[in-house]
Amino acid sequence: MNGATAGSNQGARGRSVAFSGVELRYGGKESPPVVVDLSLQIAAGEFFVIVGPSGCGKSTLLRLVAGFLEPNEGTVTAGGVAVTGPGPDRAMVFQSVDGPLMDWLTVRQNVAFGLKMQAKRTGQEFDPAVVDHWLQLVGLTSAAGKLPHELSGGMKQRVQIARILAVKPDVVLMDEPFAALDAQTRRILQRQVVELWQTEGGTVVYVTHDIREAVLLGQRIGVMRAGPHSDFRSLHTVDIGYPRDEFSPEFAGVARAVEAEIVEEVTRAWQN
Amino acid sequence: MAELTDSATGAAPGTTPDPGGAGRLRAGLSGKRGAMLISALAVAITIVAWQIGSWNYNPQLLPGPAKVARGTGELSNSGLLWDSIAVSLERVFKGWLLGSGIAIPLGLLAGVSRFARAALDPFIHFFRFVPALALTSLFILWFGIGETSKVNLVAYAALFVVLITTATGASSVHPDKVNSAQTLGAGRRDVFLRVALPATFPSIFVGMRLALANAFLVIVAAEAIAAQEGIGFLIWNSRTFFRTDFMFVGIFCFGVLGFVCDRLWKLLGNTLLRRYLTGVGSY
Repeated sequence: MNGATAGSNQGARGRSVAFSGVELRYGGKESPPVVVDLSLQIAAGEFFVIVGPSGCGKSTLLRLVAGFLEPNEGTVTAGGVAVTGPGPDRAMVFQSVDGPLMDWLTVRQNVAFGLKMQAKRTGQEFDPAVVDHWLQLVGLTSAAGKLPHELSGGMKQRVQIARILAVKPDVVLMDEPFAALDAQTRRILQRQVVELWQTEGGTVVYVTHDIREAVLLGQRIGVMRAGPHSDFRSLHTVDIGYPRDEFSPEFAGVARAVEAEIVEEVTRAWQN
Repeated sequence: MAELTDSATGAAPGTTPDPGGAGRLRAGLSGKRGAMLISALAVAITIVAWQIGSWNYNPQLLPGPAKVARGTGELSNSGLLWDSIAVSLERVFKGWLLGSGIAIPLGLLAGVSRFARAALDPFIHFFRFVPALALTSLFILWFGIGETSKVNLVAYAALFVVLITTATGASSVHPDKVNSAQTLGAGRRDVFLRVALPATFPSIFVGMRLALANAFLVIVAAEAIAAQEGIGFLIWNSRTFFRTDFMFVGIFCFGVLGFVCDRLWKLLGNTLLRRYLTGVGSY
């Protein structure tokens, strides 16, 4: 088993993420919990993918790590430090194509946003060259002066990725970032995400409902159970080197195993 | 390929099917120029109908366009028309800006803070149903017969529209916008100034546009009592002298000024504020 060497970036930046005994309720004490006694360890520098049936709480887990939600019981830690609120060490790429970008800022200004906040916090000078570097990496140099409403969905998601990675977060959270895009664009961006992770490092926690995408990207895949209580049913280590060939028998083998589990969960959810 | 297409449509190569007279007319009236043509035509027909109608009525009750045009010339030459416009416009703008200036911070506060909202809500939803006209006399008692009472009355009329649209806008900023700014390291202050505020601009813009109409609505009432100048005063005063043509001039002034102000505000939105208003429709 050499899952860790499959395109791993050991030694690069990244912080471990851990859930221990996490319980979460939306609303008051009487409301039923959505997450009960959930524990999970994600290693520093790991590419971890979460899959599961709709509504099983995949995004909820990301929001806990991001600090948008606080657990009622247990702890969520990043690099061993308890998460108490949102912060630039755990940046998130959102599924929504139109929501997260600042509509009134150009592509360049959107990418510069986090860097300016960083400069303000650290007292260091803001370096526009970093923005140029990231615009070039995601292929948006020629669109730098455009406003978000002038971009395609794929370009908007690239802006999101560039502005998140530009601040060099230790943990990158991605919540179905390409779900709203067409198949071709999705393929290109998936490949690009792997490449960026390999060169830039960092821990990635990636949520998707697309099994093919999960096997294409993740070093490990966590399959969640259908509600009402969010929990992991199994963890799969994907022992295939990057870039992965989705027509290879190994790929198909992992995909088939993950799919069988999800189908079982969905069926169970329908019967409940 | 070209041959295939041609044979499929049955038309000889190089010819386009003749749309006929009706088709040409429809084609001519489509687009921006066509819309302007239709608007101009509708106005022209109305003016002609008005002129014909006025021949059948007492000109003291319904002066025709020609008589109104003469009245306009009379008022223009005496300078009264331009003085009235200047005075009324000044009151409208001062009141509108004052009202918006109070409403925008309060609206932002009510939109982003639950506590501020709870504290402000009863007042907002009480006073917005109290018409400015009901307060005319009270404002004169409080603020005197000078400019202050008139400007304040206009401000009152403008305030609640801007307040409610601003609060609605500020409370409906996309949560992902705020969240993403937070994960990029923005603190509370930056989230407010760099995200919530600019994201609320479209609502503020629309609110101020609606409030401008309210301001014009109220200026007539403000100038009805204890005023010596202004378009509203001109209209009320014309009644005393039975100069219905002057009344019409005043009415036209409001219509034209309102229209021009609205277009200028829109122009500002399409130029200086354009990047903030991508979500606002083009109406």
